[in-house]
Amino acid sequence: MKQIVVLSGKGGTGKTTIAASFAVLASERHRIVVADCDVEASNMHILLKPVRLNERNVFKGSKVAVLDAEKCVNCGACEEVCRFGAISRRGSRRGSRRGMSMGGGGGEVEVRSEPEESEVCEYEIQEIFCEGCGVCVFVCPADALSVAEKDSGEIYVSDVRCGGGGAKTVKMVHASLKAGEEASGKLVSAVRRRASEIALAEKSEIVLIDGPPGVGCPVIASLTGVDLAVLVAEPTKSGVHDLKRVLAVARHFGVNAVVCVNKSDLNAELTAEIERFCAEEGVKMLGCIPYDETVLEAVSACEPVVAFRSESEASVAIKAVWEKIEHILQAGA
Amino acid sequence: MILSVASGKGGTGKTTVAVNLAISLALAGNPVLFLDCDVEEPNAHIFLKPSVEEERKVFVKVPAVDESKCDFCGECSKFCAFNAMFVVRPSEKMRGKVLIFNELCHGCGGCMLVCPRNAISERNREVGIVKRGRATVPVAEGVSDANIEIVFGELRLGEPSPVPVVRAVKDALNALKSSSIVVIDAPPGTSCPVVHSVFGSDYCILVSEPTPFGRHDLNLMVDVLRDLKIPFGVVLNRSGVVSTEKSQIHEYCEREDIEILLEIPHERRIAELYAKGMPFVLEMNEWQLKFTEMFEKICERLRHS
Repeated sequence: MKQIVVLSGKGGTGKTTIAASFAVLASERHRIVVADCDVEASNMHILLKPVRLNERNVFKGSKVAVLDAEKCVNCGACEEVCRFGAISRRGSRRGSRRGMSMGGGGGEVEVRSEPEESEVCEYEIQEIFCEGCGVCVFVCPADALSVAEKDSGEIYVSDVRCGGGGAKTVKMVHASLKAGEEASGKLVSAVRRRASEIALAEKSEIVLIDGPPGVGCPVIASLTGVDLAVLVAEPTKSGVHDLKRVLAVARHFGVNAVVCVNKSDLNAELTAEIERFCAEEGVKMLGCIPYDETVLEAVSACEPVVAFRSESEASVAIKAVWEKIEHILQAGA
Repeated sequence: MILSVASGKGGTGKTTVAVNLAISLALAGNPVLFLDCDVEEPNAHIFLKPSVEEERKVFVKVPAVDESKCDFCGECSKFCAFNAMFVVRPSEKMRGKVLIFNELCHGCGGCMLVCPRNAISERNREVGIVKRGRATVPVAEGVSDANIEIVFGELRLGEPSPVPVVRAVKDALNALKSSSIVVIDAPPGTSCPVVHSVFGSDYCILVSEPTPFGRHDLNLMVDVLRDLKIPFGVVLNRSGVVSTEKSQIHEYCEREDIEILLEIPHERRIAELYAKGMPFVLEMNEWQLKFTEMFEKICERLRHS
């Protein structure tokens, strides 16, 4: 089983469009499993349409402090030890950067109108800042705090339409992260774990991973231990800058990375710069995919471009890139 | 006034909108502070080309164990919610050892608190860098240049969490002059780095594009902002690529009662300027007015809410 991840550093370079096309091409010849690891803004299911949902599981990836207002004695010990600004007095805006900046001396703005009553709990937890470390629980003298698991999202396993003009179906593991959650790296790991289990059970040859943008936690989780990372670059100043960073991360984790340039004719000079950079760094350049309005039409029609118009300029170029990936996989096998 | 620019999906044009808005506001005579909170892939400095005046390392706290005091009781590793500590108990064959996995540590300080022998202290670990600089925007012959103050961070490569660097960038707000307009460029996605970036802003501009991806991810960010109770509106970028798509996103916004603040057309000229790292309002001057008008519109909405 070979694992391939499609990454880009910068968002919007065409990761998902290209990954979905790879899925179509790969499934013509291999048994594959697809994993959508862009769990924050997953889009693969828009192009590879699920025809059947096989599994749907709640993902509990993070913990959060829970305050029992009845037991709270308002000592403030929890607020003092919390390093994440997640516990604050009701009405005060200390957790907020804004409050700090606007309020002058520390920015505490009491807006409570009712009279002070010591029995009333004055503290509250800002869930979005809480990392669930449990330090507040440890210091609370009144046993008023606990840590609870929270639902961070869901993981799905679907049969999706893929190669053979959409006649073939393959299994895809995808997920949705709840708005504002912090556990995106863990959810990515969970998606990959489930995809690998399915691939082993079904003797699949390829796990194809669509990765998230950036270089942080969810990218690292998408990248570690894969056989090949395909970096989709675009010929813009930002694209070149971001490619260099994501390549450095791939190398940091010892992953073999290759590059293709999408929308390559938008700026020939920068495409040449990427080619030069790859040559200098000893990174294999798999090819250029020209800007092609057909890609936009395909996305609008919710189809991978190689399935939508297999002879369009972009499709032909994507197929050529995929052929090279096949060679790399065979050579490595 | 703190304005953030976010999108859910990557590559919809967040940086384009944030940079061109900041320049238009600066050219109209406003003091502007630009915060690039996309510390994983910061790009705004490519367009603003600031001279960097100050660089500061960003540190997080990680535990350091004094093994001469440690009796390998394991309390620290039992407490650690992030599995960042592992204690090897001493045996006949081997000395005891405390393993610390720095990348997993969130720096909560819990291990230090629970250690019964006071054997744990903290040390700084570098996770990134924050730079502060000034970008100069030429106004006209004989008129002094407009300035934009910019603060941007860079997550050290290989580090998992951008949040400490985002916090360090946002520390610039602590010394904010009340007359300044702050423009925050947020990272893509919908998780905690985005929340940390947009938190505390008065208004958020969501940049979307008329594709099924754009619509799907816009919807996700709408949920985030409604949770955070931050008012928002939409800038539609690459508008008019596919006309049916455009009408679908208009329908969505109408149904959800979301205002479309501005539409930026799908034009090769804009894409080419972007590719070269050139803010398009500097070449297509008529857009400066459109951005400042959008800003006025936002101020108007906030006054009435």
